[in-house]
Amino acid sequence: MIKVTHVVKRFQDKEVLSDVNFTLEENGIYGLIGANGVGKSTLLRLINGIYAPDEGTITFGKEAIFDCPKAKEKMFFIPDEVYFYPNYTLYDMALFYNAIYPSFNLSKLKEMADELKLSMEEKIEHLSKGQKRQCSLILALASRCAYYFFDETFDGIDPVIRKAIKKWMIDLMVEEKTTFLIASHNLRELEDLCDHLAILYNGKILFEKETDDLKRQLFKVQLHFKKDLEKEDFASLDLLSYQKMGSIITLILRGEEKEVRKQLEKMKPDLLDFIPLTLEEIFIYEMEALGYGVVE
Amino acid sequence: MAWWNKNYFIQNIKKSKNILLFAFGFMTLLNGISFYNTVASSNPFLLTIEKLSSITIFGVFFLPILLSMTLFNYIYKKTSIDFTASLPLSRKTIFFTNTVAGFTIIFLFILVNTLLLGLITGLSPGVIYSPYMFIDYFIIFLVLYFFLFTVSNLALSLGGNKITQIALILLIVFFVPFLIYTMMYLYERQLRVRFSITTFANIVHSYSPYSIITNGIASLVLSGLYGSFTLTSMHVLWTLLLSILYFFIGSYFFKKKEFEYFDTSFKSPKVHLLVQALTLSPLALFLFLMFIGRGPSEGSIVLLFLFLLVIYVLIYNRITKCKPKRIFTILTFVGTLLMVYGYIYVIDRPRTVTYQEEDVESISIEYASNYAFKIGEDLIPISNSSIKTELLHKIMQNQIEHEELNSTEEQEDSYTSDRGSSTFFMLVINMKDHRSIRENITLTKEETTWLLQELAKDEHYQKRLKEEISLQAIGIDYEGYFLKVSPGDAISKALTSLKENYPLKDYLDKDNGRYNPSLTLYTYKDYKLKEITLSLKNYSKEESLILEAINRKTQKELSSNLKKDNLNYLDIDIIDKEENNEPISFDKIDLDKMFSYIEAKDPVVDSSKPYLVICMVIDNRQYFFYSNDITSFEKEILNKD
Repeated sequence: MIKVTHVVKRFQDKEVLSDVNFTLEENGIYGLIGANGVGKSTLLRLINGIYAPDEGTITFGKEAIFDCPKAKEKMFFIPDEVYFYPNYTLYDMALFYNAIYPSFNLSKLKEMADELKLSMEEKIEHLSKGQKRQCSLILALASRCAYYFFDETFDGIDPVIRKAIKKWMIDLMVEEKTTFLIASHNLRELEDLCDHLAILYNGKILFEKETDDLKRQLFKVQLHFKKDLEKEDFASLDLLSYQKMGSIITLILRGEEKEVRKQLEKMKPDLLDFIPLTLEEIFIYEMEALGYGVVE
Repeated sequence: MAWWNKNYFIQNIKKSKNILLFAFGFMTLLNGISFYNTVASSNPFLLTIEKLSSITIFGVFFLPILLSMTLFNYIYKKTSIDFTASLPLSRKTIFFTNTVAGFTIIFLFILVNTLLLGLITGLSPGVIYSPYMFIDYFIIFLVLYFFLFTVSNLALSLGGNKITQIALILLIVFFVPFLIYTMMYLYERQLRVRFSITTFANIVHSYSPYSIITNGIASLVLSGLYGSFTLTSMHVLWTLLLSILYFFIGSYFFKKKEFEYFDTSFKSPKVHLLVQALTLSPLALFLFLMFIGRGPSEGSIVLLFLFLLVIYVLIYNRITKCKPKRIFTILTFVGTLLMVYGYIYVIDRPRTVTYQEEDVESISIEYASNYAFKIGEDLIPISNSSIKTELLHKIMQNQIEHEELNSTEEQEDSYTSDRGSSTFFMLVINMKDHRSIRENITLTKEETTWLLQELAKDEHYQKRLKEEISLQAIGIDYEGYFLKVSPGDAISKALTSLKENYPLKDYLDKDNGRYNPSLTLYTYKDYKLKEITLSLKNYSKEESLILEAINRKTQKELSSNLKKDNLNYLDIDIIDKEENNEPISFDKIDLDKMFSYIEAKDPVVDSSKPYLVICMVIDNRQYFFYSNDITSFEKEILNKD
């Protein structure tokens, strides 16, 4: 378990992260959402011991991660810009990681490279941006760490490869109870993958919830009534948004679906339609509900 | 937590490929070719540490720094910082492993160069050298390269970018010594050559690695490869200790390093301003020294100074990418200049020193025209009270004369002028409070003779000089003919006999050797090739042994594969110590006959009797042959009756 407690990070006089708290449990895929420049990458660098926090602690089990090789052996970080040693081939990099990470699986790497049609002998610097990202991803997955941190890692990877990599990630999670934390500003990328979601805004974690809970507790309802109803008529419900287009009313509601349906049916609507929300919509409505109308 | 990681070490060596190629390919090759050319161009060749170091010393300034920048190259870029700092390696492991990799490369580079230079020397028959020179070369440069490497690592642990790193290297290595040298220079600028340095300054001056670097460079650049390292084992040891200290300080700061500030100079604007002040002050001093007493009017100089210094600060702030508040930059600028020029104002003014005999610990003779009071750079302190009193009296007298001269505004530098047969002395007064003050005096012939007699009685002085003479000679110069000396050979035996009873007075009096056959011994100690010239006026037996050794060597060379047809020069003289030497004139000479004569002749010579000197230059190498049998040579070779 990785625990981030009251973490503050300043650059010169600017506070980038203020009082960040959250916990990464074993076996899960966490999505960290936030606009550009909000501090996602800084937070990942802090967790991976690249930067030291100005205040607060980041621990792996009971040990502070900063400058702790024992903890870092179980963690792998892929930053937004990947780096390889100059003139190295994928095989050279694999040998290096094999010597540094105790659980590195060379044969697994070869398998993945074959599947992605990546040459083990070609110099990485000669590959395309997307291929370089693929290299970094399969090197990471072959290291068989317990925790992975990906910063905008799927940018520039085509959907077919992305699908294969996501499959390997899920396999790893199933086989070894691995945890992934994926930072992105692209909610669609995380939609089908993350089981937890955290939103970083203005240097703070606004909330952290299970994705299913979010989806279960927030829904869109379209209604039609014979009589003319206004927003106030729905006051008994946890209403996040009210829109009326002609005679069709669209509501965003929070709560247990059964309970809400019961209450709405009592109002005898002609039309009652529950529409599932996308993660992006959930994100926007939750932010609105918290008073952050515009997330940059 | 492990100090070292083998795989990371291998990785470090791999990524240093370019620098390895440069060091082992280009630099070593250049070193070998340059040294071979130097050795091959003259025969005999007296080897010194400076001649061995000609290329290696220039490498000190860039190779360790490039190596440090290569091994730690990830700290300058965000992507590589992310990569390296997220690896499961502690910062201590990274720093130590990088240092070990650098040290290994430096060790191998110096070792290969030492072996190469040793091989070239071994294969060149005319080189006069001591094997210890190679050991010293190896140790000096290993320590010196390692020192610069650790300083560079410390600098990169403190600073954020390459410019800051270089500025910090210069500060760490040169700042304090530069201030001390400036202070000494400002003292010396007074009409009388004198300066006063504190114990601290003495330590920095004598033992800092700066001395090795500057003396090495200065001797090479200013003296055309013939300067001398003023080095002692203390320099080397001190440099090594500083390297170790800097390694630990560097390791500490590297552990604390905030990688997020990879592009700016320092995290704190205060440190940025401090470094601005520290780098500005030597520059301000340097400009002052450069323009002092020359060029246009004072007003123009002040404007030029300010212009250059402002430009420096602007460049500094631009390239270090740190922008403290403008008011602080201006305040630091003005404050630094006030401090620097206030310091110059206080120090740069005439002063006199009065000496109380009880405050003076000893006096050393640093230089004396016509006399050899010291060997190499070693000053022998004289604590004999009568000499001390007399010399101090002379100094005071000199000061009064000097002040009188000043008051009459005479421009002539008369206190150093030649007063007939007088001798000019440079003295160092060692005070009991550990200050050293340099003074000049001039002694008459009588006063000098008295000083010589007094010194001859001084046991400590005698002992020190004897120690120097008794050092194992590696070569000799007898009247312009250089010979290698090996332990146990004929020359070595002659020297042993000569050294045993050589009186101090004969040694000190250089004039004694000037007009008589003299022998220069070359010894090697404390990284220096020392010359000790001895008069052979009263040592015919030893001289004869040396002549015999030279004869044997010439006979051996002539009987080998020497191409006698390539004779470039021939001169024949008769040496008669009772009368004037006279050259022998000849129109035609049968060279084959002369060579056969020399080869068959008995090499034994009596130097107390008149003898013949045959000087030959074959293939640009000098050969000598001596013989008392003048008549037979004239008859058989020159066909004279």
